[in-house]
Amino acid sequence: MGDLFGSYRSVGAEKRNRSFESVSAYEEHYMKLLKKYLNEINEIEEMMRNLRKERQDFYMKQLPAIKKAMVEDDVLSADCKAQWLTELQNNMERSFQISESLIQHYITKNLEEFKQALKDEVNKV
Amino acid sequence: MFREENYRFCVNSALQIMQEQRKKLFNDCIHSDPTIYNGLHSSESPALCRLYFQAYFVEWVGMHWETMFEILKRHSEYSAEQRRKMILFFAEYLSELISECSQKGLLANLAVPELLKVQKKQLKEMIQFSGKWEHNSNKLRVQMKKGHEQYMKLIREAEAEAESE
Repeated sequence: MGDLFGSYRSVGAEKRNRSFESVSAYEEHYMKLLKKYLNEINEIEEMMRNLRKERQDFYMKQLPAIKKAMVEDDVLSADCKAQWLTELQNNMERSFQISESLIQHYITKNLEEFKQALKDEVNKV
Repeated sequence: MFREENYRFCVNSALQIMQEQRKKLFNDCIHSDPTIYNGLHSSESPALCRLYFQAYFVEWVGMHWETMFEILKRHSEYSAEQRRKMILFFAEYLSELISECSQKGLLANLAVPELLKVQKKQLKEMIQFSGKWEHNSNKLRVQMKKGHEQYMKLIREAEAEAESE
């Protein structure tokens, strides 16, 4: 039977439109889309930056402050103290991960729509 | 889709809820929230210490849901349909948080068994039967309040037992 469907699997080199005009048009559409989605891109960047900073602050500033407060509160039981600190860190970390997951899903949705928009524009080229 | 303002609102609100509850957790530690304080000073009874800590974190998880309603209250311009979308959107993430918390550590073996499992089931039903979201959300809030009361009762009993020893 041979390779009956081989010619449908990919666009052959002879059919690809590599003219300067088509590549240039593609670039132009891409840049227009980037400009159109600039707010969303900046928004995502800010979300990620804020989360990173918050996580860093927790480990570098808040956790030491909590440990200090426990000493000042005269917490005597080392076991209670250790248990609390473990649970505190674990649940904070879980919360950070949920926030990260939220941002990731937002990125994915944005990317899907961006790719679709780009595909729609490319089909016109 | 993502450019839809509702979806952006859902994501931003959900992030705000998570952040507010992290802030609350930190502030409660620093300002000696009574439940945390009592737990830390229950060295004579590890069981009591554990109860206090579980009570605190079970309430903390539940507060995510209440915070969502507080945020929605601040946005009276949102229609019932937009609120429904937000509630169902966040239900998924709260369900994920409950799953993570229940897997290991303090909340894996609760003194009120099944408490978080029931909440997770209610969230799942809320998402699955989205037409009944309001009814299921109210059921969840009632269940969270009951959970808190059950813990308070267990703590009172454990304290009485500790005192009598």
